[in-house]
Amino acid sequence: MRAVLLLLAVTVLIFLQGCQTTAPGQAPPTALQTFDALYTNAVTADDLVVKTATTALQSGLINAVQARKVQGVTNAVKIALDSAYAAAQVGNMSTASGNLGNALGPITILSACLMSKPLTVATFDACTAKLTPPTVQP
Amino acid sequence: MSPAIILAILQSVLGAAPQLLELFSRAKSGIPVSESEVKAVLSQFDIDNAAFSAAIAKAEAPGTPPTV
Repeated sequence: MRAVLLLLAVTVLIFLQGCQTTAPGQAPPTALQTFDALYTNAVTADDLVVKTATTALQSGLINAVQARKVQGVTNAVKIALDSAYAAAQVGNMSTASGNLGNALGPITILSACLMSKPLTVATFDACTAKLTPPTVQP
Repeated sequence: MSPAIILAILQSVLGAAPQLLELFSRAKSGIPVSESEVKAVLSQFDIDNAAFSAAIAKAEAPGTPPTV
């Protein structure tokens, strides 16, 4: 499952590199500008998971133990994204893309699990059974 | 569960998917993000993460009925 998600993330990144469009008269975005946009929106996606999990916890749809697990993963995702951003700023796009790809998998899993219907403590447990924090490349 | 809570969950759920799509579409469009946009997103994450921590602490407080 994790390998499939990683492959999906890498595929999307390759797709993005190959199909950037630019308005007439506008300079094409640099790799760093494209990466900044990806980073900003990835943090927004991580933030949405945090907000959705908060609402689910307050509604009793997930419990405190599950919420702690979610927060552990969302914090690890943020660290991976920050590492990716830092690597991109110094031109290390390989490490940047690797950490971004690693971060997208857990975000995708958590989003899907929080959106699953019905969402209960039991279904969330089953859905997140194989969820692990992203690995961060130095 | 109150209608307000159900509505809040629905809004969160419906909002999550388009945001994930935007992750790809905006980067694809080549529109650069400004430094202030980056700072605003990071600031919002810290605010929401703090609210999440507070909600967890409240749920773990003695006397809070466990969720099954």
